[in-house]
Amino acid sequence: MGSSRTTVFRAPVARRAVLAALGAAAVLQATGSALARAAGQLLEALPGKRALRRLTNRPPNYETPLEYFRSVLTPNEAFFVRYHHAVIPQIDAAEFRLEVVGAALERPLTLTLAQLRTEFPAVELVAVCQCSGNRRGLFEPPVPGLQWGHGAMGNARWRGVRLADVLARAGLRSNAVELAFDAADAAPLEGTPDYVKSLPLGKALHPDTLLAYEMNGAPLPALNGHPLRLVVPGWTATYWIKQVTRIEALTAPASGFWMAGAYRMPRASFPLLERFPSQESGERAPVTEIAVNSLITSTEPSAAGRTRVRGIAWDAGHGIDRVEVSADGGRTWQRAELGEDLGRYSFRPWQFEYSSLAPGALELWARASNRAGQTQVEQPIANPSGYQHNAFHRVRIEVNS
Amino acid sequence: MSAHRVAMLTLALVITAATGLLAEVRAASGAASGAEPEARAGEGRELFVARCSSCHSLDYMEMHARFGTRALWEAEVTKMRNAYKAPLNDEEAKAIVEYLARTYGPTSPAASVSR
Repeated sequence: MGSSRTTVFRAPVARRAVLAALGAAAVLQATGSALARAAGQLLEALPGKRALRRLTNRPPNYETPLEYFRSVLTPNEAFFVRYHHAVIPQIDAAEFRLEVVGAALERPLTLTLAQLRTEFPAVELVAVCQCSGNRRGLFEPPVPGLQWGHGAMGNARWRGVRLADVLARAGLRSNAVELAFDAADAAPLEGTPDYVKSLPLGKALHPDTLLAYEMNGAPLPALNGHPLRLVVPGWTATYWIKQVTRIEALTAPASGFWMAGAYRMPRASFPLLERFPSQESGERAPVTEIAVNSLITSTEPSAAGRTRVRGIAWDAGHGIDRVEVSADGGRTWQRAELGEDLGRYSFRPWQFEYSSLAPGALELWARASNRAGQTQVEQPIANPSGYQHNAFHRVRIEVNS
Repeated sequence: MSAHRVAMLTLALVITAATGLLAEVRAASGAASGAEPEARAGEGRELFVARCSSCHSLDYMEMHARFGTRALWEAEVTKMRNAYKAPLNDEEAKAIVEYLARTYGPTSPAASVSR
């Protein structure tokens, strides 16, 4: 085990910051007070991070303020932080070891980070990492759990090796059922279930599933998985194991708490294209794909009397087909112009320019649709754990005369 | 890694953190940046702090207070015992639920000063 130091996380905080003003003339606000309640009002800078919205200090759970989503790639220093357990080791990259073991392997391996960097082809892709419970704090009635606003997500360019290439070297046997991934963090109590997640073979062997050592051209930040994390494009962040130290090829489905007892949804409410059949039981199925979604990130006056609306849209990698905006409560929708395409798993920027909005207060709505025929919903789909909130984003703006 | 090994390595640090918590916490208003929220006043507070704050900060309580019904707190304490293996006997669990239901609810006296 390569951890050189292990600490119980208590966030030392360098400074507080004030949320930047959003637009010059048109002020963007969340509808109602749900967002303010959801995200908390305290902004704190963790080591190596800019001021993020604090949900909890220990374990650290901090969300990215909305203004950072005005760039397609989320800066590493502003990328959200999410941990289940408060004992977070600091791992020296030179001492790091990845164990690849299990009954379904021909040749168990131990790899250093240098081996991963030099002995396997490097792959780069842009992908959204989004918590299953992003926007949980916006559900009404409220749902217990971390009360996230819009910022439990980020988009980055990940560089690493294909998990499939590592598994090929270890020789996956035909009796393999799932791959399990263990993170280096742990709970203060010995009896608390270790954070272990598994993937079905198809997703684990997909050429886009990576063991990443770089994020946006730099080593992974300490609080985003340094020195190595799993990148599972299209699937929610629960599978994106940070500080992955052990991969186990299983001959039976993983049965630990974090698979069998958490991150599950009523199957009937959420038709999924990519499923995880070996983990489905009864009415509940594991969260898998990121639901199609969008966010309005700014509104501002452009030419005389005109208002420009900008935002981002994303999904599980099926690809964004269109984004539409409405200024009349959904009676009419206008199609936004899609911007730069950094790949099918990335945020897709979009914009629309209104030529004549009447002065005064109004609500702007945005909804995205993907190439698989899925569209955001008007009301979020209620579920016991508050996952996959993908209702239209609605913001109130003031149009100046 | 196994939780066992880390737990062994960090036992001393856990104790330090839990002890430090009592001395260092400040108001939940957020005025003291970086500080963990202090437990709200009420009968059962000491037991609650001793059993719960060794694993997590009390941000979790403040975050749920606006809809913190007795049923919610019962479910949370049950989850902490069954899933997270919080070492509480039935009597302690009951006392902690009582404290949370009285202290971290939408109509609790302290609700007006929480964020």
